[in-house]
Amino acid sequence: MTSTNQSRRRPFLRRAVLGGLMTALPMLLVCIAIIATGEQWMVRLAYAGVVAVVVVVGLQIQMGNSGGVSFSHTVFVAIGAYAVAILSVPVQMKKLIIPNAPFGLADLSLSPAAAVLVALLIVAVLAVITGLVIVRVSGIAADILTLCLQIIAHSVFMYWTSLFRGSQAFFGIPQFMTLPAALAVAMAVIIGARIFRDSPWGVQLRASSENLLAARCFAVNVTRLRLLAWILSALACSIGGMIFAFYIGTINAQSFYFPYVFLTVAMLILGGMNSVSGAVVGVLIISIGIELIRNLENGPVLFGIELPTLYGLSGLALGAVIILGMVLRPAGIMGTREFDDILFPRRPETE
Amino acid sequence: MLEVRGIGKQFGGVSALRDVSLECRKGEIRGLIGPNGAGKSSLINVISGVLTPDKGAVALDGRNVAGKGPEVAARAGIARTFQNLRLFANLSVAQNIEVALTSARALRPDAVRGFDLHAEMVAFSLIARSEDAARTLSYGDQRRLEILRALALGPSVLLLDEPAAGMNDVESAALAELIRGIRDRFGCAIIVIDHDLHFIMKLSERITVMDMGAVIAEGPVDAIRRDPKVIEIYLGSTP
Ligand SMILES: Nc1ncnc2c1ncn2[C@@H]1O[C@H](COP(=O)(O)OP(=O)(O)O)[C@@H](O)[C@H]1O
Ligand SMILES: [Mg+2]
Repeated sequence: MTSTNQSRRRPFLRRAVLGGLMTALPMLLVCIAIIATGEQWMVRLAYAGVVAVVVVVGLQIQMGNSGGVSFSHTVFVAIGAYAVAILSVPVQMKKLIIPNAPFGLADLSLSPAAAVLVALLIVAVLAVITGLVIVRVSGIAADILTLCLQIIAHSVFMYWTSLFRGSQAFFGIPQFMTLPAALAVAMAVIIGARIFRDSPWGVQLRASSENLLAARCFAVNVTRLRLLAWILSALACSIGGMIFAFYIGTINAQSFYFPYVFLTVAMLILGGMNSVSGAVVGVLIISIGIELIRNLENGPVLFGIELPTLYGLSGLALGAVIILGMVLRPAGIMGTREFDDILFPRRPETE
Repeated sequence: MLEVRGIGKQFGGVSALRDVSLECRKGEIRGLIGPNGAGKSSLINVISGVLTPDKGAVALDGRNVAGKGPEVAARAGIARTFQNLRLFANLSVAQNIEVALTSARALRPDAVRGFDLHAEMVAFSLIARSEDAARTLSYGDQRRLEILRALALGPSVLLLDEPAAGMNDVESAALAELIRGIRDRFGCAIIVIDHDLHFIMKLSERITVMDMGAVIAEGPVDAIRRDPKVIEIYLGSTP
Protein backbone atom coordinates (compact mmCIF):
# COMPACT_ATOMS: atom_id res chain seq x y z
CA MET A 1 0.00 0.00 0.00
CA THR A 2 2.97 2.32 0.14
CA SER A 3 3.52 4.36 -2.95
CA THR A 4 5.28 7.56 -3.82
CA ASN A 5 2.13 9.66 -4.13
CA GLN A 6 0.41 8.43 -0.98
CA SER A 7 -1.97 10.86 0.76
CA ARG A 8 -1.41 13.29 -2.09
CA ARG A 9 -3.83 16.22 -2.14
CA ARG A 10 -6.06 16.61 -5.16
CA PRO A 11 -4.85 19.64 -7.09
CA PHE A 12 -7.58 22.28 -7.42
CA LEU A 13 -5.89 25.66 -7.73
CA ARG A 14 -4.91 25.46 -11.40
CA ARG A 15 -8.32 24.21 -12.40
CA ALA A 16 -10.07 26.88 -10.32
CA VAL A 17 -8.04 29.71 -11.86
CA LEU A 18 -8.28 28.49 -15.47
CA GLY A 19 -11.92 27.57 -14.95
CA GLY A 20 -12.52 30.98 -13.39
CA LEU A 21 -11.13 32.66 -16.52
CA MET A 22 -13.52 30.56 -18.59
CA THR A 23 -16.38 31.46 -16.26
CA ALA A 24 -15.60 35.14 -16.81
CA LEU A 25 -15.31 34.80 -20.58
CA PRO A 26 -18.96 35.44 -21.63
CA MET A 27 -19.04 38.64 -19.56
CA LEU A 28 -15.72 39.67 -21.02
CA LEU A 29 -16.82 39.09 -24.62
CA VAL A 30 -20.10 40.99 -24.24
CA CYS A 31 -18.33 43.94 -22.62
CA ILE A 32 -15.55 44.06 -25.21
CA ALA A 33 -18.17 44.11 -27.95
CA ILE A 34 -19.94 46.97 -26.19
CA ILE A 35 -16.71 48.93 -25.69
CA ALA A 36 -16.01 48.45 -29.41
CA THR A 37 -19.32 50.09 -30.34
CA GLY A 38 -18.20 53.20 -28.46
CA GLU A 39 -21.80 53.92 -27.41
CA GLN A 40 -21.61 55.60 -23.98
CA TRP A 41 -25.14 54.63 -22.93
CA MET A 42 -24.30 50.97 -23.63
CA VAL A 43 -21.07 51.21 -21.67
CA ARG A 44 -23.06 52.55 -18.72
CA LEU A 45 -25.49 49.62 -18.95
CA ALA A 46 -22.61 47.17 -19.24
CA TYR A 47 -21.03 48.71 -16.15
CA ALA A 48 -24.21 48.07 -14.17
CA GLY A 49 -24.07 44.49 -15.48
CA VAL A 50 -20.50 44.02 -14.30
CA VAL A 51 -21.43 45.36 -10.86
CA ALA A 52 -24.29 42.85 -10.85
CA VAL A 53 -21.84 40.05 -11.73
CA VAL A 54 -19.71 40.95 -8.71
CA VAL A 55 -22.76 41.09 -6.44
CA VAL A 56 -24.38 37.91 -7.75
CA VAL A 57 -21.08 35.98 -7.60
CA GLY A 58 -20.76 37.29 -4.04
CA LEU A 59 -24.23 35.96 -3.34
CA GLN A 60 -23.27 32.65 -4.95
CA ILE A 61 -20.39 32.22 -2.50
CA GLN A 62 -23.00 32.19 0.25
CA MET A 63 -26.01 30.50 -1.32
CA GLY A 64 -24.15 28.07 -3.56
CA ASN A 65 -21.88 26.65 -0.88
CA SER A 66 -23.85 26.95 2.37
CA GLY A 67 -27.28 26.39 0.83
CA GLY A 68 -30.41 28.40 1.56
CA VAL A 69 -31.39 31.85 0.33
CA SER A 70 -29.92 35.12 1.49
CA PHE A 71 -31.83 38.38 1.38
CA SER A 72 -29.17 40.43 3.11
CA HIS A 73 -26.31 40.41 0.62
CA THR A 74 -27.23 43.86 -0.71
CA VAL A 75 -26.73 45.18 2.81
CA PHE A 76 -23.03 44.56 2.25
CA VAL A 77 -23.24 46.11 -1.22
CA ALA A 78 -24.65 49.22 0.44
CA ILE A 79 -22.11 49.18 3.27
CA GLY A 80 -19.28 48.91 0.74
CA ALA A 81 -20.66 51.81 -1.29
CA TYR A 82 -21.37 54.05 1.70
CA ALA A 83 -18.11 53.22 3.43
CA VAL A 84 -15.94 54.27 0.49
CA ALA A 85 -18.22 57.26 -0.09
CA ILE A 86 -18.00 58.52 3.48
CA LEU A 87 -14.26 57.89 3.64
CA SER A 88 -13.23 59.32 0.28
CA VAL A 89 -15.46 62.35 -0.36
CA PRO A 90 -13.28 65.51 -0.14
CA VAL A 91 -13.60 67.51 3.09
CA GLN A 92 -15.01 70.67 1.44
CA MET A 93 -17.76 68.56 -0.08
CA LYS A 94 -18.46 66.88 3.25
CA LYS A 95 -19.17 70.28 4.83
CA LEU A 96 -22.03 70.40 2.37
CA ILE A 97 -23.43 66.85 2.50
CA ILE A 98 -22.62 65.41 5.96
CA PRO A 99 -21.49 68.37 8.10
CA ASN A 100 -22.56 66.67 11.34
CA ALA A 101 -21.04 63.25 10.67
CA PRO A 102 -20.00 61.42 13.86
CA PHE A 103 -16.50 60.14 14.78
CA GLY A 104 -14.90 63.20 13.16
CA LEU A 105 -15.66 61.75 9.73
CA ALA A 106 -16.65 65.19 8.43
CA ASP A 107 -13.01 66.29 8.67
CA LEU A 108 -11.48 63.17 7.17
CA SER A 109 -10.81 62.28 3.58
CA LEU A 110 -8.83 59.24 2.48
CA SER A 111 -7.40 58.32 -0.89
CA PRO A 112 -9.67 55.83 -2.73
CA ALA A 113 -7.17 53.01 -2.10
CA ALA A 114 -7.06 53.68 1.63
CA ALA A 115 -10.84 54.06 1.68
CA VAL A 116 -11.23 50.65 0.05
CA LEU A 117 -8.94 48.98 2.59
CA VAL A 118 -10.72 50.54 5.57
CA ALA A 119 -14.09 49.72 4.03
CA LEU A 120 -13.11 46.06 3.56
CA LEU A 121 -12.06 45.95 7.21
CA ILE A 122 -15.39 47.44 8.32
CA VAL A 123 -17.29 44.95 6.17
CA ALA A 124 -15.26 42.05 7.57
CA VAL A 125 -16.01 43.09 11.15
CA LEU A 126 -19.73 43.52 10.46
CA ALA A 127 -19.78 40.20 8.59
CA VAL A 128 -18.21 38.39 11.53
CA ILE A 129 -20.75 39.88 13.95
CA THR A 130 -23.80 39.11 11.80
CA GLY A 131 -22.34 35.79 10.66
CA LEU A 132 -21.86 34.50 14.20
CA VAL A 133 -25.62 34.76 14.65
CA ILE A 134 -26.73 33.49 11.27
CA VAL A 135 -24.49 30.43 10.85
CA ARG A 136 -25.89 28.90 14.01
CA VAL A 137 -29.33 28.69 12.46
CA SER A 138 -30.30 26.28 9.68
CA GLY A 139 -32.97 26.21 7.01
CA ILE A 140 -35.86 28.63 6.70
CA ALA A 141 -35.07 30.32 10.03
CA ALA A 142 -31.71 31.41 8.64
CA ASP A 143 -33.35 32.74 5.47
CA ILE A 144 -35.76 34.81 7.58
CA LEU A 145 -32.90 36.10 9.74
CA THR A 146 -31.24 37.50 6.61
CA LEU A 147 -34.54 39.20 5.74
CA CYS A 148 -34.59 40.83 9.19
CA LEU A 149 -30.99 41.93 8.75
CA GLN A 150 -31.91 43.63 5.48
CA ILE A 151 -34.77 45.54 7.11
CA ILE A 152 -32.68 46.59 10.12
CA ALA A 153 -29.83 47.79 7.90
CA HIS A 154 -32.19 49.76 5.69
CA SER A 155 -33.65 51.49 8.74
CA VAL A 156 -30.15 52.48 9.81
CA PHE A 157 -29.40 53.92 6.36
CA MET A 158 -32.69 55.82 6.35
CA TYR A 159 -32.65 57.22 9.89
CA TRP A 160 -28.96 57.78 10.68
CA THR A 161 -29.14 60.86 8.50
CA SER A 162 -26.02 62.59 9.85
CA LEU A 163 -23.97 59.76 8.33
CA PHE A 164 -26.00 58.32 5.44
CA ARG A 165 -28.28 61.30 4.51
CA GLY A 166 -31.43 59.17 4.85
CA SER A 167 -33.57 59.28 1.74
CA GLN A 168 -31.36 61.94 0.16
CA ALA A 169 -28.69 60.96 -2.30
CA PHE A 170 -25.06 60.82 -1.19
CA PHE A 171 -23.03 62.57 -3.88
CA GLY A 172 -19.56 63.86 -4.54
CA ILE A 173 -17.85 60.44 -4.57
CA PRO A 174 -14.69 60.39 -6.72
CA GLN A 175 -15.57 58.90 -10.11
CA PHE A 176 -12.43 57.23 -11.41
CA MET A 177 -13.64 53.75 -12.33
CA THR A 178 -13.90 52.57 -15.93
CA LEU A 179 -15.51 49.53 -17.50
CA PRO A 180 -12.17 47.76 -18.15
CA ALA A 181 -11.12 48.33 -14.53
CA ALA A 182 -14.45 46.98 -13.29
CA LEU A 183 -14.01 43.93 -15.55
CA ALA A 184 -10.64 43.23 -13.96
CA VAL A 185 -12.21 43.45 -10.50
CA ALA A 186 -15.07 41.17 -11.54
CA MET A 187 -12.64 38.61 -12.93
CA ALA A 188 -10.70 38.60 -9.68
CA VAL A 189 -13.93 38.07 -7.72
CA ILE A 190 -15.00 35.25 -10.06
CA ILE A 191 -11.65 33.49 -9.72
CA GLY A 192 -11.76 33.97 -5.96
CA ALA A 193 -15.23 32.42 -5.83
CA ARG A 194 -14.02 29.49 -7.94
CA ILE A 195 -11.00 28.91 -5.71
CA PHE A 196 -13.22 28.81 -2.63
CA ARG A 197 -15.78 26.54 -4.30
CA ASP A 198 -13.16 24.02 -5.45
CA SER A 199 -11.01 24.14 -2.30
CA PRO A 200 -11.23 21.34 0.27
CA TRP A 201 -13.16 23.76 2.52
CA GLY A 202 -15.61 24.66 -0.22
CA VAL A 203 -16.13 20.97 -0.97
CA GLN A 204 -16.79 20.23 2.72
CA LEU A 205 -19.24 23.12 2.97
CA ARG A 206 -21.11 21.99 -0.12
CA ALA A 207 -21.20 18.49 1.34
CA SER A 208 -22.82 19.85 4.50
CA SER A 209 -25.53 21.57 2.49
CA GLU A 210 -26.21 18.35 0.59
CA ASN A 211 -26.36 16.11 3.63
CA LEU A 212 -25.82 17.76 6.98
CA LEU A 213 -25.87 14.59 9.07
CA ALA A 214 -23.37 12.77 6.89
CA ALA A 215 -21.07 15.81 6.89
CA ARG A 216 -21.21 15.96 10.69
CA CYS A 217 -20.36 12.24 10.84
CA PHE A 218 -17.16 13.16 8.98
CA ALA A 219 -16.31 15.89 11.48
CA VAL A 220 -16.98 18.71 9.03
CA ASN A 221 -16.93 21.95 11.04
CA VAL A 222 -20.14 23.28 9.56
CA THR A 223 -20.46 26.47 11.61
CA ARG A 224 -16.90 27.56 10.92
CA LEU A 225 -17.15 26.93 7.19
CA ARG A 226 -20.52 28.68 6.96
CA LEU A 227 -19.00 31.68 8.73
CA LEU A 228 -16.10 31.70 6.29
CA ALA A 229 -18.46 31.66 3.30
CA TRP A 230 -20.58 34.38 4.87
CA ILE A 231 -17.55 36.66 5.33
CA LEU A 232 -16.17 36.02 1.83
CA SER A 233 -19.62 36.63 0.37
CA ALA A 234 -19.96 39.91 2.28
CA LEU A 235 -16.53 41.07 1.11
CA ALA A 236 -17.31 40.26 -2.55
CA CYS A 237 -20.70 42.00 -2.38
CA SER A 238 -19.15 45.06 -0.76
CA ILE A 239 -16.61 45.24 -3.58
CA GLY A 240 -19.59 45.40 -5.95
CA GLY A 241 -20.88 48.39 -3.98
CA MET A 242 -17.47 50.07 -4.05
CA ILE A 243 -16.94 49.87 -7.80
CA PHE A 244 -20.52 51.07 -8.24
CA ALA A 245 -19.96 54.13 -6.03
CA PHE A 246 -16.62 55.02 -7.65
CA TYR A 247 -18.25 54.99 -11.10
CA ILE A 248 -21.64 56.56 -10.57
CA GLY A 249 -20.53 59.12 -7.95
CA THR A 250 -23.96 59.31 -6.31
CA ILE A 251 -25.61 56.63 -4.17
CA ASN A 252 -28.93 56.20 -2.48
CA ALA A 253 -30.01 53.58 0.08
CA GLN A 254 -33.21 52.90 -1.83
CA SER A 255 -31.27 51.50 -4.78
CA PHE A 256 -29.85 48.67 -2.61
CA TYR A 257 -33.24 47.70 -1.15
CA PHE A 258 -35.75 45.00 -2.06
CA PRO A 259 -36.02 45.52 -5.82
CA TYR A 260 -32.26 45.02 -6.06
CA VAL A 261 -32.35 42.10 -3.61
CA PHE A 262 -34.93 40.28 -5.70
CA LEU A 263 -33.31 41.13 -9.00
CA THR A 264 -29.96 39.68 -7.92
CA VAL A 265 -31.47 36.63 -6.22
CA ALA A 266 -33.50 35.99 -9.37
CA MET A 267 -30.38 36.27 -11.52
CA LEU A 268 -28.61 33.68 -9.39
CA ILE A 269 -31.52 31.27 -9.20
CA LEU A 270 -32.18 31.48 -12.95
CA GLY A 271 -28.51 30.90 -13.80
CA GLY A 272 -28.07 28.22 -11.14
CA MET A 273 -26.90 28.97 -7.62
CA ASN A 274 -24.65 25.93 -7.40
CA SER A 275 -22.03 27.21 -9.81
CA VAL A 276 -20.17 30.47 -10.33
CA SER A 277 -20.88 30.14 -14.05
CA GLY A 278 -24.57 30.06 -13.14
CA ALA A 279 -24.20 33.45 -11.46
CA VAL A 280 -22.57 34.91 -14.59
CA VAL A 281 -25.15 33.40 -16.94
CA GLY A 282 -28.04 34.63 -14.80
CA VAL A 283 -26.75 38.20 -14.81
CA LEU A 284 -26.16 38.16 -18.57
CA ILE A 285 -29.56 36.75 -19.48
CA ILE A 286 -31.62 38.95 -17.18
CA SER A 287 -29.62 42.13 -17.89
CA ILE A 288 -29.85 41.72 -21.64
CA GLY A 289 -33.47 40.57 -21.38
CA ILE A 290 -34.51 43.61 -19.35
CA GLU A 291 -32.90 45.95 -21.89
CA LEU A 292 -34.69 44.29 -24.81
CA ILE A 293 -38.02 44.46 -23.00
CA ARG A 294 -37.46 48.06 -21.99
CA ASN A 295 -37.33 48.90 -25.68
CA LEU A 296 -40.69 47.20 -26.15
CA GLU A 297 -42.13 49.21 -23.27
CA ASN A 298 -41.47 52.40 -25.18
CA GLY A 299 -43.69 51.31 -28.06
CA PRO A 300 -41.22 50.60 -30.83
CA VAL A 301 -42.09 50.40 -34.50
CA LEU A 302 -42.10 46.79 -35.65
CA PHE A 303 -42.65 45.90 -39.34
CA GLY A 304 -44.06 49.37 -39.89
CA ILE A 305 -46.60 49.04 -37.08
CA GLU A 306 -46.15 51.32 -34.09
CA LEU A 307 -46.67 49.14 -31.00
CA PRO A 308 -48.40 50.67 -28.00
CA THR A 309 -46.33 51.62 -24.96
CA LEU A 310 -46.42 48.83 -22.40
CA TYR A 311 -45.34 50.16 -19.03
CA GLY A 312 -44.65 47.50 -16.45
CA LEU A 313 -43.82 44.93 -19.11
CA SER A 314 -40.25 44.44 -17.88
CA GLY A 315 -41.43 43.58 -14.38
CA LEU A 316 -43.99 41.13 -15.73
CA ALA A 317 -41.56 39.54 -18.15
CA LEU A 318 -38.88 39.24 -15.46
CA GLY A 319 -41.33 37.46 -13.20
CA ALA A 320 -42.47 35.17 -16.02
CA VAL A 321 -38.91 34.26 -17.02
CA ILE A 322 -38.01 33.40 -13.45
CA ILE A 323 -41.12 31.29 -12.90
CA LEU A 324 -40.61 29.52 -16.21
CA GLY A 325 -36.93 28.95 -15.47
CA MET A 326 -37.64 27.51 -12.05
CA VAL A 327 -40.33 25.19 -13.39
CA LEU A 328 -38.31 23.94 -16.36
CA ARG A 329 -34.91 23.88 -14.63
CA PRO A 330 -35.25 24.00 -10.85
CA ALA A 331 -31.47 23.82 -10.44
CA GLY A 332 -30.98 26.78 -12.78
CA ILE A 333 -29.55 26.88 -16.27
CA MET A 334 -26.10 25.63 -15.25
CA GLY A 335 -27.20 23.19 -12.54
CA THR A 336 -24.10 22.19 -10.60
CA ARG A 337 -21.76 22.58 -13.56
CA GLU A 338 -19.22 25.24 -14.46
CA PHE A 339 -18.50 26.14 -18.10
CA ASP A 340 -15.22 24.24 -17.98
CA ASP A 341 -17.01 21.12 -16.66
CA ILE A 342 -18.93 21.11 -19.95
CA LEU A 343 -16.11 22.15 -22.31
CA PHE A 344 -13.31 20.17 -20.66
CA PRO A 345 -14.85 17.46 -18.47
CA ARG A 346 -12.54 16.17 -15.78
CA ARG A 347 -11.20 12.74 -16.60
CA PRO A 348 -10.42 10.02 -14.09
CA GLU A 349 -6.70 9.31 -13.76
CA THR A 350 -6.81 5.71 -14.92
CA GLU A 351 -3.12 5.41 -15.77
CA MET B 1 -10.84 -1.24 21.38
CA LEU B 2 -14.55 -0.34 21.34
CA GLU B 3 -16.63 -1.07 24.42
CA VAL B 4 -20.37 -0.46 24.42
CA ARG B 5 -21.88 -0.77 27.91
CA GLY B 6 -25.52 -0.97 28.97
CA ILE B 7 -27.02 1.22 26.27
CA GLY B 8 -30.71 2.03 26.63
CA LYS B 9 -32.79 4.10 24.23
CA GLN B 10 -36.52 4.72 24.05
CA PHE B 11 -38.51 6.29 21.24
CA GLY B 12 -41.77 7.35 22.82
CA GLY B 13 -43.11 4.07 24.10
CA VAL B 14 -40.80 1.88 21.99
CA SER B 15 -37.65 0.48 23.59
CA ALA B 16 -35.29 0.52 20.62
CA LEU B 17 -32.31 -0.55 22.78
CA ARG B 18 -32.44 -2.32 26.14
CA ASP B 19 -29.21 -2.68 28.09
CA VAL B 20 -27.11 -3.43 25.03
CA SER B 21 -23.43 -4.20 25.52
CA LEU B 22 -20.86 -5.18 22.89
CA GLU B 23 -17.11 -5.25 22.42
CA CYS B 24 -15.03 -5.09 19.30
CA ARG B 25 -11.25 -5.38 19.15
CA LYS B 26 -8.88 -3.92 16.58
CA GLY B 27 -8.67 -6.21 13.56
CA GLU B 28 -11.92 -7.94 14.41
CA ILE B 29 -14.90 -8.19 12.09
CA ARG B 30 -17.97 -8.32 14.28
CA GLY B 31 -21.27 -9.39 12.75
CA LEU B 32 -24.46 -7.78 14.05
CA ILE B 33 -27.63 -9.55 12.99
CA GLY B 34 -31.28 -9.57 13.88
CA PRO B 35 -34.66 -9.12 12.23
CA ASN B 36 -35.99 -5.78 11.03
CA GLY B 37 -36.65 -3.41 13.92
CA ALA B 38 -34.28 -5.28 16.24
CA GLY B 39 -32.38 -2.08 17.01
CA LYS B 40 -29.22 -2.66 14.94
CA SER B 41 -29.27 0.72 13.22
CA SER B 42 -30.15 2.46 16.47
CA LEU B 43 -27.07 0.91 18.06
CA ILE B 44 -24.87 2.15 15.19
CA ASN B 45 -26.46 5.58 15.58
CA VAL B 46 -25.58 5.62 19.28
CA ILE B 47 -22.00 4.49 18.69
CA SER B 48 -21.47 7.10 15.96
CA GLY B 49 -22.89 9.91 18.10
CA VAL B 50 -25.94 10.45 15.91
CA LEU B 51 -28.28 9.31 18.70
CA THR B 52 -27.90 10.21 22.36
CA PRO B 53 -28.66 7.15 24.50
CA ASP B 54 -30.85 7.41 27.60
CA LYS B 55 -28.26 5.43 29.50
CA GLY B 56 -25.00 3.57 28.98
CA ALA B 57 -21.55 4.41 27.64
CA VAL B 58 -19.56 4.05 24.44
CA ALA B 59 -15.85 3.94 25.13
CA LEU B 60 -13.14 4.01 22.48
CA ASP B 61 -9.76 3.14 23.98
CA GLY B 62 -11.18 4.14 27.35
CA ARG B 63 -12.62 7.49 26.25
CA ASN B 64 -16.40 7.95 26.45
CA VAL B 65 -17.95 9.39 23.28
CA ALA B 66 -21.62 8.58 23.89
CA GLY B 67 -24.08 11.44 23.50
CA LYS B 68 -21.46 13.99 22.43
CA GLY B 69 -22.52 14.33 18.82
CA PRO B 70 -21.22 12.79 15.60
CA GLU B 71 -18.27 15.21 15.32
CA VAL B 72 -16.77 13.96 18.57
CA ALA B 73 -17.22 10.34 17.55
CA ALA B 74 -15.65 11.04 14.14
CA ARG B 75 -12.67 12.82 15.70
CA ALA B 76 -12.18 9.85 18.01
CA GLY B 77 -11.96 7.61 14.94
CA ILE B 78 -15.45 6.19 14.52
CA ALA B 79 -16.58 6.15 10.89
CA ARG B 80 -19.82 4.78 9.49
CA THR B 81 -21.96 4.10 6.47
CA PHE B 82 -25.72 4.58 6.33
CA GLN B 83 -28.40 1.99 5.70
CA ASN B 84 -30.27 4.60 3.66
CA LEU B 85 -27.40 5.99 1.62
CA ARG B 86 -26.27 9.47 2.55
CA LEU B 87 -23.76 10.38 -0.11
CA PHE B 88 -23.09 13.97 -1.14
CA ALA B 89 -25.13 13.48 -4.28
CA ASN B 90 -23.90 16.36 -6.43
CA LEU B 91 -20.25 16.04 -5.46
CA SER B 92 -18.01 13.77 -7.48
CA VAL B 93 -16.87 10.38 -6.22
CA ALA B 94 -13.41 11.78 -5.48
CA GLN B 95 -14.88 14.81 -3.69
CA ASN B 96 -17.09 12.61 -1.52
CA ILE B 97 -13.96 10.86 -0.31
CA GLU B 98 -12.08 14.14 -0.07
CA VAL B 99 -14.63 15.44 2.47
CA ALA B 100 -13.57 12.71 4.89
CA LEU B 101 -9.90 12.97 3.97
CA THR B 102 -9.82 16.74 4.61
CA SER B 103 -11.16 16.21 8.13
CA ALA B 104 -8.80 13.33 8.76
CA ARG B 105 -5.74 15.29 7.60
CA ALA B 106 -6.60 18.06 10.05
CA LEU B 107 -7.78 15.98 12.99
CA ARG B 108 -6.10 12.56 12.75
CA PRO B 109 -3.13 13.06 10.41
CA ASP B 110 -1.29 9.91 11.51
CA ALA B 111 -4.30 7.75 10.67
CA VAL B 112 -4.34 8.75 6.98
CA ARG B 113 -0.66 9.29 6.31
CA GLY B 114 -0.54 6.16 4.19
CA PHE B 115 -3.93 6.58 2.56
CA ASP B 116 -3.57 6.54 -1.22
CA LEU B 117 -6.79 7.92 -2.69
CA HIS B 118 -6.03 6.80 -6.21
CA ALA B 119 -5.09 3.26 -5.22
CA GLU B 120 -8.17 2.92 -3.01
CA MET B 121 -10.49 4.08 -5.80
CA VAL B 122 -8.91 1.37 -7.96
CA ALA B 123 -9.36 -1.22 -5.19
CA PHE B 124 -13.01 -0.24 -4.79
CA SER B 125 -13.65 -0.33 -8.57
CA LEU B 126 -14.60 3.34 -8.49
CA ILE B 127 -11.70 4.81 -10.42
CA ALA B 128 -13.51 4.97 -13.76
CA ARG B 129 -16.27 7.02 -12.14
CA SER B 130 -14.04 9.18 -9.93
CA GLU B 131 -15.06 12.48 -11.54
CA ASP B 132 -18.77 11.68 -11.86
CA ALA B 133 -21.41 12.97 -9.46
CA ALA B 134 -22.21 10.39 -6.78
CA ARG B 135 -25.90 10.45 -7.71
CA THR B 136 -25.11 9.05 -11.16
CA LEU B 137 -23.56 5.84 -9.76
CA SER B 138 -25.25 2.46 -9.72
CA TYR B 139 -26.61 1.30 -6.39
CA GLY B 140 -23.72 -1.11 -5.77
CA ASP B 141 -21.16 1.57 -6.61
CA GLN B 142 -22.87 3.97 -4.21
CA ARG B 143 -22.68 1.38 -1.42
CA ARG B 144 -18.95 0.88 -2.04
CA LEU B 145 -18.40 4.63 -2.17
CA GLU B 146 -20.03 4.95 1.25
CA ILE B 147 -17.51 2.44 2.60
CA LEU B 148 -14.51 4.09 0.96
CA ARG B 149 -15.61 7.52 2.22
CA ALA B 150 -15.76 6.10 5.76
CA LEU B 151 -12.36 4.50 5.31
CA ALA B 152 -10.87 7.87 4.30
CA LEU B 153 -11.41 9.07 7.86
CA GLY B 154 -8.65 6.65 8.90
CA PRO B 155 -11.02 5.03 11.38
CA SER B 156 -10.14 2.79 14.26
CA VAL B 157 -13.76 1.63 14.28
CA LEU B 158 -15.71 1.16 11.04
CA LEU B 159 -19.48 0.71 11.27
CA LEU B 160 -21.17 -0.74 8.18
CA ASP B 161 -24.98 -0.65 8.24
CA GLU B 162 -26.26 -3.26 5.77
CA PRO B 163 -23.50 -2.76 3.17
CA ALA B 164 -24.77 -5.73 1.14
CA ALA B 165 -28.37 -4.53 0.93
CA GLY B 166 -29.73 -4.83 -2.59
CA MET B 167 -26.74 -6.77 -3.90
CA ASN B 168 -26.90 -10.13 -5.63
CA ASP B 169 -24.83 -13.14 -4.46
CA VAL B 170 -21.87 -12.41 -6.71
CA GLU B 171 -21.75 -8.77 -5.64
CA SER B 172 -22.07 -9.54 -1.95
CA ALA B 173 -19.34 -12.19 -2.15
CA ALA B 174 -17.03 -9.60 -3.72
CA LEU B 175 -18.04 -7.15 -1.01
CA ALA B 176 -17.17 -9.66 1.73
CA GLU B 177 -13.74 -10.01 0.13
CA LEU B 178 -13.35 -6.22 0.08
CA ILE B 179 -14.28 -5.88 3.76
CA ARG B 180 -11.84 -8.61 4.73
CA GLY B 181 -9.19 -6.74 2.75
CA ILE B 182 -9.93 -3.55 4.70
CA ARG B 183 -9.42 -5.40 7.96
CA ASP B 184 -6.13 -6.90 6.77
CA ARG B 185 -4.71 -3.65 5.43
CA PHE B 186 -6.03 -1.08 7.92
CA GLY B 187 -6.43 -3.23 11.03
CA CYS B 188 -9.50 -1.36 12.27
CA ALA B 189 -12.35 -2.85 14.26
CA ILE B 190 -15.29 -3.46 11.92
CA ILE B 191 -18.93 -3.95 12.84
CA VAL B 192 -21.05 -5.22 9.96
CA ILE B 193 -24.83 -5.28 10.07
CA ASP B 194 -26.91 -7.52 7.88
CA HIS B 195 -30.11 -9.42 8.33
CA ASP B 196 -28.78 -12.15 6.06
CA LEU B 197 -27.10 -14.83 8.16
CA HIS B 198 -25.14 -16.31 5.23
CA PHE B 199 -23.35 -13.10 4.40
CA ILE B 200 -22.44 -12.38 8.03
CA MET B 201 -21.25 -15.93 8.73
CA LYS B 202 -18.89 -15.91 5.77
CA LEU B 203 -17.42 -12.61 6.90
CA SER B 204 -17.11 -12.41 10.66
CA GLU B 205 -15.41 -14.31 13.46
CA ARG B 206 -17.87 -13.39 16.17
CA ILE B 207 -21.53 -12.50 15.92
CA THR B 208 -23.91 -10.51 18.09
CA VAL B 209 -27.58 -11.28 17.64
CA MET B 210 -30.24 -8.71 18.54
CA ASP B 211 -34.00 -8.95 18.80
CA MET B 212 -36.55 -6.46 20.11
CA GLY B 213 -33.84 -4.05 21.22
CA ALA B 214 -31.83 -6.55 23.26
CA VAL B 215 -28.78 -8.76 22.65
CA ILE B 216 -30.06 -12.35 22.70
CA ALA B 217 -26.87 -14.18 21.73
CA GLU B 218 -23.17 -13.47 21.30
CA GLY B 219 -20.31 -15.73 20.33
CA PRO B 220 -18.26 -17.39 17.61
CA VAL B 221 -19.98 -18.27 14.34
CA ASP B 222 -20.37 -22.00 15.08
CA ALA B 223 -21.99 -21.43 18.47
CA ILE B 224 -24.38 -18.86 17.01
CA ARG B 225 -25.31 -21.26 14.21
CA ARG B 226 -26.44 -23.85 16.78
CA ASP B 227 -28.07 -21.42 19.25
CA PRO B 228 -31.76 -22.36 19.64
CA LYS B 229 -32.87 -18.72 20.11
CA VAL B 230 -31.17 -17.76 16.88
CA ILE B 231 -32.68 -20.72 15.05
CA GLU B 232 -36.08 -19.72 16.35
CA ILE B 233 -35.75 -16.15 15.00
CA TYR B 234 -34.39 -17.36 11.72
CA LEU B 235 -36.85 -20.27 11.41
CA GLY B 236 -37.23 -21.10 7.78
CA SER B 237 -33.82 -19.83 6.78
CA THR B 238 -31.24 -22.60 7.02
CA PRO B 239 -27.86 -21.27 8.01
N1 LIG C 1 -35.79 8.01 15.00
C1 LIG C 1 -36.69 7.11 15.44
N2 LIG C 1 -37.87 7.51 15.96
C2 LIG C 1 -38.77 6.62 16.43
N3 LIG C 1 -38.58 5.31 16.40
C3 LIG C 1 -37.42 4.83 15.88
C4 LIG C 1 -36.43 5.71 15.38
N4 LIG C 1 -35.38 4.97 14.93
C5 LIG C 1 -35.72 3.69 15.15
N5 LIG C 1 -36.94 3.59 15.71
C6 LIG C 1 -37.61 2.37 16.14
O1 LIG C 1 -36.68 1.64 16.89
C7 LIG C 1 -36.76 0.26 16.58
C8 LIG C 1 -35.42 -0.24 16.09
O2 LIG C 1 -35.16 0.28 14.79
P1 LIG C 1 -33.79 0.07 14.04
O3 LIG C 1 -32.69 0.40 14.95
O4 LIG C 1 -33.85 0.83 12.77
O5 LIG C 1 -33.81 -1.48 13.74
P2 LIG C 1 -32.97 -2.35 12.68
O6 LIG C 1 -31.89 -1.53 12.14
O7 LIG C 1 -32.48 -3.52 13.48
O8 LIG C 1 -33.92 -2.80 11.64
C9 LIG C 1 -37.87 0.10 15.56
O9 LIG C 1 -39.05 -0.24 16.24
C10 LIG C 1 -37.98 1.48 14.97
O10 LIG C 1 -39.28 1.72 14.53
MG1 LIG D 1 -31.46 -0.97 10.22
